Amino acid sequence: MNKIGDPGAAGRPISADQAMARVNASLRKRYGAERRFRVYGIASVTVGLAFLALMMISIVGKGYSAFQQTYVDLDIYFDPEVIDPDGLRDQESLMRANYNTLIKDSLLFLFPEASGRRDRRALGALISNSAAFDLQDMVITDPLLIGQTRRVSVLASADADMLNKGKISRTVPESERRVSDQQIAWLETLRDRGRFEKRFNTSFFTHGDSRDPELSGIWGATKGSFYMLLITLALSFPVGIGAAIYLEEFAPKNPVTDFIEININNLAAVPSIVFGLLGLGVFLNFFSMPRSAPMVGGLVLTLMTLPTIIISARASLKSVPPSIREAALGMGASQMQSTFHHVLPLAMPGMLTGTIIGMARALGETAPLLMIGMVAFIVDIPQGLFDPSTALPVQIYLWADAPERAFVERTSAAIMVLLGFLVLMNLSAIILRKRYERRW
Amino acid sequence: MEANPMTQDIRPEITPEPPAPREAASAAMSEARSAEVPDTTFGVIEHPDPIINCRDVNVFYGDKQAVFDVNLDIGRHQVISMIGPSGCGKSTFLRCLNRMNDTIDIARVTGTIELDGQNIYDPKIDVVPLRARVGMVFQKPNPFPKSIYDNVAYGPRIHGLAKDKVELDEIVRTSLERAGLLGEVKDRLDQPGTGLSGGQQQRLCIARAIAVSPDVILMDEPCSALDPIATAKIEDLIDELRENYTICIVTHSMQQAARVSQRTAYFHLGYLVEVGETDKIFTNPTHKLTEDYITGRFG
Amino acid sequence: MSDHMTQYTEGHTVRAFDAELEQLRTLVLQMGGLVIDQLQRAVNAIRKRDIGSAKLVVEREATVNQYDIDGEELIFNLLAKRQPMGADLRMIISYIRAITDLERCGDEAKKIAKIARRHIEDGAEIDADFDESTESMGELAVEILRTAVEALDNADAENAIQAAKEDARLDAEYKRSVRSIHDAMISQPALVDVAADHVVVIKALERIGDHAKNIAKYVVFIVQGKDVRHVKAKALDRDA
Repeated sequence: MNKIGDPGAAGRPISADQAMARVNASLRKRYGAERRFRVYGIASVTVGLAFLALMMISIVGKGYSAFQQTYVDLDIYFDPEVIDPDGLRDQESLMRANYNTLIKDSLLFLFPEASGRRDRRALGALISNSAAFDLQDMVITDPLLIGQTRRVSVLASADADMLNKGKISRTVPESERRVSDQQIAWLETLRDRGRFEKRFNTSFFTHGDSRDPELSGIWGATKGSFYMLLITLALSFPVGIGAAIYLEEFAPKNPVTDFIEININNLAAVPSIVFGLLGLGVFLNFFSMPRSAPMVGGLVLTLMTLPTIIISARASLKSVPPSIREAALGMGASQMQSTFHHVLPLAMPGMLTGTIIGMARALGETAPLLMIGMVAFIVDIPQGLFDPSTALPVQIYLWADAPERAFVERTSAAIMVLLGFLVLMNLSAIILRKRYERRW
Repeated sequence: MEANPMTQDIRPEITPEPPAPREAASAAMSEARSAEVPDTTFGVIEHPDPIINCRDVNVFYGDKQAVFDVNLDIGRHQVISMIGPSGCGKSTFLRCLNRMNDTIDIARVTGTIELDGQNIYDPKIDVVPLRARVGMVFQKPNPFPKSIYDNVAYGPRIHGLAKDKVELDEIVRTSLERAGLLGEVKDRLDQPGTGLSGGQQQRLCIARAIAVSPDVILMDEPCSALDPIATAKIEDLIDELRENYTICIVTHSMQQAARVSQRTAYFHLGYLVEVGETDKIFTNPTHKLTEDYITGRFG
Repeated sequence: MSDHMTQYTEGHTVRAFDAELEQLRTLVLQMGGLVIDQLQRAVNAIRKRDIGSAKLVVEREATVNQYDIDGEELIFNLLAKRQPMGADLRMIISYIRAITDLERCGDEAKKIAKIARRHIEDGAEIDADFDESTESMGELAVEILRTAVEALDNADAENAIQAAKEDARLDAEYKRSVRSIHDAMISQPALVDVAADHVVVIKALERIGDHAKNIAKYVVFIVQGKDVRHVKAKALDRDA
């Protein structure tokens, strides 16, 4: 057995046996450290997943009910006396008629005991304000209905809907809830008679915002977001890619380009609210563009996403092996031929991925839009780039602020829709990358 | 008789005395034997039938000089190899010959490089036709991620060499043929060039380079990423191409330089130390640095 | 200009190559020493009737052959493994030739020793004239061979050229001796047997001189890179 430093160990500082013994001794420690590190990693992943699951459960749990809406089947007698006492049957008188009376009459027929003014009003509050308009539409499209009795499914009011979905607790004292005991009794009677019906909530996807929760929808906000993203994409993609190509492939390496690069990197880290303020100052105040317009929102989001797109596009240009450029230049291709024939096709999937991710970020952005007035309550669906509109995340913000109980589920539902869009966009980015990525 | 003659103590009385330093026969001889880079290149820089004449070529990268006063003639339809330790400037010098150094912002070249009497660093010269005349093959096979056909057709297309599709097909076919690749790929010209083996890719790059009918082909360590069989095929190809093209090859393998080239230039620290017939350089070089390098004493 | 053969064997980045070249150098040096000793003893055996020396030379011939075999194997391996270039290549090629030449010298020495052994065993008379020419030629041959081997190990082209030139003297001596043997045979026909043996001996010595000259020329090849095998010795230092 050799001792340490024994020259007999053939030039080894320690003998083979000793080395083995020491290695074995240290092995246990090493494996222990490795196991511990694994546990840390798994714990972190678990905690992260738990938070994500919590968020998803909370959102879905609160929001899934918004995709269904309560309807009440009422036997409506289209009373000619109420609709058109003069018997003219012309458009104007049909428009002007008080269809609410028809609904109230129908309800009174079901609950004759509600005779007082207050009771009648409470009874009427069970049905959405929009029901009268639905009846109006029915009559106008088919005036022959007048004088007949039809079973019509009318939209229940938000309170009735909430109660039906069990979102209003009956243990709360009557004075502290929006539905009286009397109303609860009526609703239960209606339910027992099978006149309650839950249907898929199409109006949520087709309506704009509304004061009445049961009438409010996300279509206006979705369209606003769509227009904004259209503007953002149309501006930031060509500008961003162009800037990236110039900076990466053509620009000389000098202090000026270095300075530009630093600034782009800094801009990517600027809080988005600052871009909102910039938009307010430049587009609204200086150029006097309309408030709340998708055009302005798109411009602001373009400013915000440009640095991200430039940086990701440059990164994907950089990842194209220089040997390809050399090959093209060595063949006598010009700088531009080399870039457009060879480098760009290879960098494109990466650039598209970066752009989509930038777009997804723009889609989820709220703060800069607040500054340019897109936070307004807008009922109408925007029909163009300059119509006032709001955006999905802003709609969520508005609803989250609304006091009505029924907006809670709509907030969560809107979040689900927004998340759905984001997942879709990121998915397409991943698919693009997987599909067109080339390996060397 | 002893079993093993080697263990016998039969050393003769010869006592090899430590030699006394002798006066040098001549100044040139002493310079050749010193380990300093010489002021002027050893050997014959001229060639009776040169295609490229380089005179006083200096290359700077920013403040740093990479190549010093290189004078060298490159003979027509010959293979000249450039050898030397890493960082000796051989690749840099090679890249001067088709102005590939232009792509590096901080690179600056002085002196004259004449291609058939025309200085390629003349401001009037356009690099695009120059690079069509002086093609290049790189260290790592770098086919475009396109089909084999498009790889070879790219040069003729951008330079407008083919009048029609038939002519282009012909150019692609002959180029692949000359590069010794046609037999292996003729049934899959539409497949990506990146799907070929390393050696095939490099021959594809050679086919791509000769498709524009260059006079000179520069090769920057063309076999360093290849296995010995693929290397042998490329070397055989180089020897064949010599009939029609002038080839300048930078290589780290001295054996390769010895095998493929007719002339060899030895670079050291940016200087062209010695140039001569390959047979002479590898059996009996003049300068000590060359000798040390080829016998594996440094580098 | 040149210092010592070790300057050709040392300094490679791959130190194992150094070791192998050094092994080759040592082998050739030992072989040279042995062959010189063989020659010396063979000449002594003839001149001093030393039966012990004669027998030793004949015995050790196998050792010389073993050197030849070992050296060639070593060089085969070197060529296959190291792909020598430049001076390394010249050195190795010269050494393989030098080994062959030394082996031939060994053969010639054995030839002389065998004749000596036969003479001693037969108790043959040796003519004093013959003895004298054997001695002077023997000494000269040993001297040339020693100088050549020394020059090889010292990578000393000047001494090598000297040795090559000395060979001319040996040749002259040989011619002179042959003539005198011729004369002796005419005048003393009884000496014919001995004279014939003597011709063989001096012919062997003359051959050894030629081999030594070859070795000397290899030194010039190693040091100067010039192939002077077929250049007349007188012309050797003309442009050295």
